[in-house]
Amino acid sequence: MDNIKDKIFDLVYDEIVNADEKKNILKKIENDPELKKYYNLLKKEKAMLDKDVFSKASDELLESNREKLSAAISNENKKINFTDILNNYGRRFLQYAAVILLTFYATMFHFKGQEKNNNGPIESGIKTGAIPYENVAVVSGESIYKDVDMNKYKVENLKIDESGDEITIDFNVSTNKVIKGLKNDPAIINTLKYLVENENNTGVKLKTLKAIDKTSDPRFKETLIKTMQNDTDPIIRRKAMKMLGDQIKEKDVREALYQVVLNDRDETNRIQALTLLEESDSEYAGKAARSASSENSEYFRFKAEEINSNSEKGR
Amino acid sequence: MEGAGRPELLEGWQKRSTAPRGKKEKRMNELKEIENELINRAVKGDGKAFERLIRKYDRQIMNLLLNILKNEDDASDAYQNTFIKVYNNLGQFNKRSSFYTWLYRIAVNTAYTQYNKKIDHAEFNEYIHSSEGDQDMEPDVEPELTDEEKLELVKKEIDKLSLQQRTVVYMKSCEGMKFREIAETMSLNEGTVKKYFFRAVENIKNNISI
Repeated sequence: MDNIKDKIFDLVYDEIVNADEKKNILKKIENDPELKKYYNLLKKEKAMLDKDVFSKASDELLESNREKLSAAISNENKKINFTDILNNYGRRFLQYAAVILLTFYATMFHFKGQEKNNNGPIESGIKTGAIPYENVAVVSGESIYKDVDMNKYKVENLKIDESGDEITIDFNVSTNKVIKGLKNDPAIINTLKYLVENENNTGVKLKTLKAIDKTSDPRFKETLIKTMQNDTDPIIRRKAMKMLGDQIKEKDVREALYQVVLNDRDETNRIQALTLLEESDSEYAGKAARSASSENSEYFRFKAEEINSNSEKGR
Repeated sequence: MEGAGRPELLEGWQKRSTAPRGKKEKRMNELKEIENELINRAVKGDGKAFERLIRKYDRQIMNLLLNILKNEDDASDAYQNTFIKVYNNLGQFNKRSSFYTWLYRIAVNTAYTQYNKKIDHAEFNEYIHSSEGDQDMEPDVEPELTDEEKLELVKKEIDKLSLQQRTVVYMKSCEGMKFREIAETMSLNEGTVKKYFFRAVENIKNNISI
């Protein structure tokens, strides 16, 4: 049965080109009322996705983009013409020159580094990439670097800003870093926490939250609460809220959700928090629902009234 | 390559579809040769040839980008990036395969990169759609709707789909591509593409009454 249904699907969505096969399927549909029903449903679904539901580019939009592209391509051409000027010999000469120069600089750099090693231990440590991070108070990024062996990384632009009694060390790590560990590894946990709280890119944040979700580690509770209440992006706040749903039995989670019902600017988030509270704890849900009388959203008020009447029935 | 809206058909091939199959194939081969000639000239730096090549397909590409990215500014950026990439990599195009599919793949990848740079809503939307209880959040009472209102509703529901689902729905329903072709364009297998399509239709259907 499923096989014929698959074929009907293929027929409706023009996946079958063979005329005989089409005829065969149509015959089967004619003889079976259930298949006919399925066929009609699929046709209705297909009609729902009519071409008119999709956006079409206007002529103006297309023309302006063609002009812009034309200008961009002439710029690209200029770049290409420049390289075309160089004939094969010229190119080869440049390649040799580049190799010689690089070798020269690498040798110079190597010997210069060794010379400085003899003169100053701190600076030599920096040049070879070993950072004496254990001997200084690393203020920012501590959660990331605390458990990671920094000796493995090359660091560039190491800036020492001496002001008063404090020394600020600003690491600008340019080499690709991979932090790998078990999901309960403190370095992993700290890094994930740090990313959720500090990362600007929403996509990265969402992926980090997904990774946290996989760990099911209760140690993320505070971070998730903070994110749910403070993040600027409502989608991130909502995702953190959903993840906290597993820890709804904890009082501080319920309290935090209650605060979301009262204070979150996003209506969907408020409704979601109310729904989670309703599913878990009638006391908080009732409290939240009672405070919803001034709520603008009709659906929110409807939901709140429903919770109120349920809790009255409960009594 | 038989779906409505495909560039070849828009070029007028369909008008001659009554021609015998052999002649039609011959004509298709001739057009492919012309296209290859344009590509060769464009690779050598002939701007006019590249412009002709673009004009053959760019309306479809812009429509695709508009439907994936949902706004004109982003679609315009992706359009520029797509064709600059095409221009710079034309020499690497394998002429035995379809230029159209190659171009589409670049456009889809460019759109995805741009979209992901802005925000990774796709995953989240999928999460929202797949999670239980969310359906309770929308009032499920649907009043009688006019055809126009239904159309608007479907448009809104398409906008809510995940990036991949939206791409597949567009390619299938608007471009009339085969699932196999969509899979090739998106570098996925056919089963996955079908799954995206089924889920998309289910999501749309669940939120409107058809």
